[in-house]
Amino acid sequence: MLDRTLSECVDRAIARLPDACRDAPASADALVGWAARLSPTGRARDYFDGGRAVMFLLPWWLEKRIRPIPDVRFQELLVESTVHAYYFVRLIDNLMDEDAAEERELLPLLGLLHANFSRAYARLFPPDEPFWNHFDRYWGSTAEAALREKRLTRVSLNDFIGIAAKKTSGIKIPLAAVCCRYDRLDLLEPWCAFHDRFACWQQMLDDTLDWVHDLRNGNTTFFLSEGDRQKRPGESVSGWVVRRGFAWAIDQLAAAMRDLRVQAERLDSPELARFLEYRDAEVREYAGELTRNLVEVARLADVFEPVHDEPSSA
Amino acid sequence: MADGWTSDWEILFAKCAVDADYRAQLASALAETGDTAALVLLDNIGVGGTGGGRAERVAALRSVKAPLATALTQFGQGQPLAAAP
Repeated sequence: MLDRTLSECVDRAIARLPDACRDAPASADALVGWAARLSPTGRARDYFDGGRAVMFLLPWWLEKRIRPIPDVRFQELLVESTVHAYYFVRLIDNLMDEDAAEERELLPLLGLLHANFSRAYARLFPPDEPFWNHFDRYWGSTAEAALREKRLTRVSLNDFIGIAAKKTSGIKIPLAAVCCRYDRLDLLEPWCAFHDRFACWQQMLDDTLDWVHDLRNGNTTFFLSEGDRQKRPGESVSGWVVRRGFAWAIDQLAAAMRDLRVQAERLDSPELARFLEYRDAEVREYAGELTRNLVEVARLADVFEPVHDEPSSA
Repeated sequence: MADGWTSDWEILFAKCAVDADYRAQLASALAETGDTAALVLLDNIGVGGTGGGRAERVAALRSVKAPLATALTQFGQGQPLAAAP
């Protein structure tokens, strides 16, 4: 999914993680250990493959939209900053979602992560540059969304678009950096608008595939809220998911992907178009396999949880 | 559920989703000829049902046990997508 050159930028950023805390060896050990444990493979680098790679890919493709060969040193700064910003957000999000004991112990790392996140931009842009207005706006939007989302007891469609899917607004900061560096602010709004839509699709996918985890942890998501709204009398949310909810979510994702692909055409990035095509096919294949299993599981749910036909008013 | 009551399906689903040992025990019990072992496991979590419904529950589980395990495992893994194109 990543160009080799960009992938090597990510390799180096991960390899340099201990340098983020070079005067604080215990912090360095803690950060490196946590980063490895986040990754299912135990290798921190692997955590940034696949879906998460979009945070590096969008600025990369945006620069390629402006000039054929991106400035690798510039992109490497963006990648290094983004890795630290991601860990900053992840640490807080894990703590807020699950009250995780490990993350609580790591709270002192937040200052170091933030310093390394913003340092790259301080090297690129003097303090009075317009870039910093974009930085403040998108970083503020990320914090605002995270804060407001945790206060929701149920997520409406408007909440989802306006809050839940804005949690990743920080990805717009490297987009702004690219536009400011090449004086192409005309591209910023359409690429940010694309990101907003893509973030909705990505968040919906996360909600749909992580629903067991979210239900168990009491997390409020749009998908589970929709289950509360759509389920029938006597039907549980998990019953709704296996009978109709998963299929509903897949339909929503397919419709959103159609819109995304139309919007992406206007961005004039062949690589972005191929990326969406790939993601669409990947989700369809996975959903198809799961749907076949869920038909059987739904019959089981009917035996253990008979339901009425009318939707609940809950 | 909205009124605080938990259906037998929710209990079974929650148990199977989080407890791999229970899933394995249930799969093993369902592979036996009789219903007794499976019903003990269902009764242990309070979802064995009553009367003729008991045999129906075991039969339903037998008919879907592989997809159930697969589906739950897939969901339990979170987002598995993301291989390189």
